[in-house]
Amino acid sequence: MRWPLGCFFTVMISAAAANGEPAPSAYRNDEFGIRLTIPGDLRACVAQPDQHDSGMSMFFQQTATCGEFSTQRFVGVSLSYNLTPDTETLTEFAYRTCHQAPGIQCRAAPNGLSIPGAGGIARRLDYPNGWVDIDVMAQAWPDVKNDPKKPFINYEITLHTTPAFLSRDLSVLRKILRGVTVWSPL
Amino acid sequence: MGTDIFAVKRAGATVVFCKRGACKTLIQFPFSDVNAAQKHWRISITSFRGDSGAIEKLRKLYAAVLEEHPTGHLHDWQLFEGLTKAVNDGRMEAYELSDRDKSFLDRYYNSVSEKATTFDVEPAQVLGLASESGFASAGTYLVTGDAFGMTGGSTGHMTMAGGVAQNVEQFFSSWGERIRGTKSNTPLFLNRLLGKDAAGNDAKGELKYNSASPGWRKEREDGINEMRRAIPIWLMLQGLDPG
Repeated sequence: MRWPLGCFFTVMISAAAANGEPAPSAYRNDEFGIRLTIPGDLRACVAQPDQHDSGMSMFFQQTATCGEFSTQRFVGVSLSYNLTPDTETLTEFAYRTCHQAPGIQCRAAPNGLSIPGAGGIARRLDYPNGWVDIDVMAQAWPDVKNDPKKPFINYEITLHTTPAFLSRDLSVLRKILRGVTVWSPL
Repeated sequence: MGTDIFAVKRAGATVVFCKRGACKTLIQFPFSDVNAAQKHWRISITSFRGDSGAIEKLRKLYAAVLEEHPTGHLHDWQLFEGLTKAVNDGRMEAYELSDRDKSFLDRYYNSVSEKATTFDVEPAQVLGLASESGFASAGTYLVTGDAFGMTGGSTGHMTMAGGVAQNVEQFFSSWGERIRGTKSNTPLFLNRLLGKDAAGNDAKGELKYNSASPGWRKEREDGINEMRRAIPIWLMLQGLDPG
């Protein structure tokens, strides 16, 4: 089946500013079934017109360069299809994330982190260079074309920060997670 | 009944264990470094998982190989043995070539492989990018026919492909020069697509395959690894030498 043109698109919607604070906006991805609110004081980077939209990022610095993930604090959204044994279950997905680079120390994340409507698992990753990730992962929606027992979509929302900013940035991550809505796009 | 196959590819040797249909097992050791006239040793076992004699049969087979080639392949044998035990003990599931991967390779392998050879890049790296589209099974692909994720989110910038050949041509026309000569070097391949230099530093002004999703690199690594597992099995099913 071919889906109609225009079925998938990224939307960023600005709301009216209130109380002098920058206005929040929204990110919506119909291909993977997710919507979230972007805090107005973060710099949002979404897919360019010639890039497949498989997620977005929100940087704490307004001067940040989109795509420069290693040296800047951000909350990122990564969306993918669950296609390999490496991420087949949520446990394997978390294991893969914890082993994405050498030297990562992986441990339990702070309590209460999940993706509304999809649940999930959270991990804290400490990199040898001092950066810290709080990674919230979830899987959802059966892979009806290949194996309905397996989830087909991987959701990953990552806070990338430093120990000095961890507490402050974690509250932003929690706020973003509260504003997430997911639905079956299949 | 699905194809139940386990495969590992290592530098210099491809090892394929597979169990097809009604528990017919083929174990194949193509040692690409033995000599020009590559030899295959095959043994058929009626049941692999749970067959307590499988390891012994493999050991005898390998002893015969060693007798003929005394330089040996001890490291590879230790790998075979460990994997065989793991499968037999139920600690490791056999790798399965999914219907999705098979269907994708049926359609894309030949076109991509031909062009990839021209550009001196491992086909699995290009094919692995198609994890963007669930290996040509989902999402934007269903609208555009673009398996490689070159398609933007707005209808005004979609890369429309009329078929596999056109889609492959579009990819190499747009990105072929960027990835030329990357061979099997996946970090370099992905750095080139992300507009970074060999050290991973941002090369100003370069187009980027993706600049928004922080998980893009990891997800494409997974796609490439999936193709590296799937391709040797798919080739074997075509009657071709996976070595």
